[in-house]
This record gives sequence, C-alpha cells and structure tokens, in this order.
Amino acid sequence: MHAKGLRGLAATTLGAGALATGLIFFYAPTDADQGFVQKIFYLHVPMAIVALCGFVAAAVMAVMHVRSGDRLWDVRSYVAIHLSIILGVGVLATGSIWAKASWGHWWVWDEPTLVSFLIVFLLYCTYQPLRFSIEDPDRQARYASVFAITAGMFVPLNFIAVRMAEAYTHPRVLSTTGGHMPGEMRLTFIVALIAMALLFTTLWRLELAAKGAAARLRHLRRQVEPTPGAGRRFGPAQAPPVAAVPARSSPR
Amino acid sequence: MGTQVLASAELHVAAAYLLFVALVGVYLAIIRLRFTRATNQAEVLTRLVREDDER
Repeated sequence: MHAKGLRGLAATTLGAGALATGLIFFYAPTDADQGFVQKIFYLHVPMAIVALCGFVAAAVMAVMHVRSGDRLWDVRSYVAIHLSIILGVGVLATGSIWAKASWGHWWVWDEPTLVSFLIVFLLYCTYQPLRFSIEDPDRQARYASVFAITAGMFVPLNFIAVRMAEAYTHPRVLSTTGGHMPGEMRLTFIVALIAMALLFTTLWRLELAAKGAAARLRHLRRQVEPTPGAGRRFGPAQAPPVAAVPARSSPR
Repeated sequence: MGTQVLASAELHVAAAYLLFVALVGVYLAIIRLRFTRATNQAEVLTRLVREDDER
C-alpha cells in the first residue's frame, strides 16, 4: 500500500540530492567570511528545518489518530518522529563539526539555538522508551499520540523563544532580511532544503512499507498459530519457519 | 598557514557530509534488511496457508 510510487519518489529524491550536491560544490560561491566551512550550512540547516517540521507533522498525525481512532495515523506519527530523531542526530553532529571549525569549540552552552535544539532532541528521545513501556497496543498508541501532540506544540514555541532571545552567536539563516544570502547561495539553499524534504518523505514511506510488510507477517502468524482448543493448523513437519520472528504488539 | 586552514576546512566539510551519508546508509540498510526478512517470511507463510487450505 505504502510502496506505491515509492520507486519514482526515490528516483526524484536521488536526482534532487545530486542537483543539490552539484550546486553546493560547483555553483554556490565560497563565503567571504567563513570560507569553505560554510558548505556545511547547506546540509546542517535543511536537516534541522526538516527534523523540526517532522516533529510538528508527527503531532498533526497524532491529532488525526486521536480524532479518528485509526491506528495507521499512529504508525505514521511514530515513523515521522523516528526519522526526525535520526535527522536530529545528524543536526547535532554536523553542527558540532561546523562549530569546531568556525568557533574552535565542539559545543557552546550559552548559545540558545544549540541548547534549545538539544532540549527538543532529548525530549523526543524519551518518546520510544515511553511508547514501548506500554504493552497494550491501544493504550500505547493513545499515550504515544498524546506525547506527540504535547511535544509537537513545544517545537514552535521553542523556536519563537529562541528567536526572541537577545544575544546569539549562531548565524540566522531565515530572518526578516533573508540572512543576507546572495542569489546563488539562496537558490542552492532552497534546492538543498527541497532535497532534504524529499529524502525525509522517501524514507518515511519506505519505513511505512516495511511496517506494512511486518503487519502482514503478524497477521499470517496469527492465522497459522494454534488457537486454544483448536489444535495446530499445521502438522509438526510443516511448522512454518516463524519461530525466530518475535511477536510484537507494537509497530516497531 | 593558509594551506593548513584550507585543508582543515575541507576536512571538516568532508567529515560532515560523510557522516550524513553514513547515517542515511545505515538507516537504509536496517530498513532494507527488515523489509526483505518480513517479505520472505510472509511469502513462506502465505504459501503454507494456501497449501493448508487446499488440503
């Protein structure tokens, strides 16, 4: 179901990624102030924006789950958070590399942008332990959705709070002045942002397809497993090779 | 001095981009492994269920 059109989307993502890479290294001018290190910006900032948007999108999907009761929305929300956490790791790592090259420090604790992103990241890191500490599938989905909605509301609030902070050394990319980016840099940045958003969508759909296959497997397992008082569906010689697959009630 | 700064900058940029590629690569490998395993096992189970129904 989720695999439909995935091939085309993956090809588009690959094309956008190649175009963005070409623009970053062969079209965008080298920054006069920061030099070549500024090229990290085309990777780091789109990743941060897409990760934060992923958290907000997960909150919207969680709202859909709470409203409709459809478990599929919960799975979609879960996958969006999972992917955003992975991108969050990338944001923190590439940001640290840039900070080391530009500021001479891996991390600066009095910088609101860095610390606020870390807080959001750590908040979402508690999502999975919370989710999988609940065994009942319906309760698990409901509690996870409530968490996703609450944390999702925190993301824009956090973003606004950081923007209102007085002093920061972290560069502003999306400001009212457009971050003073020349045309070539702006175009490259937009293409990189689109490529990152496409990558997120492709991976999100891929993971959903994998979860769909796992759900189908669980359904088949239930069909072949012996029901109480009904005996085995298969004889011992025909026992299906599913013993190695752990039965899970969660969309892990 | 200038060459050293350039080499250092290139190293940092390369590290950031390689890290990103590795992150996505590992993620894709894990999902692909899970997907392939689930698909294979689902095929075996489907066949067994069909054979059992025919019998």
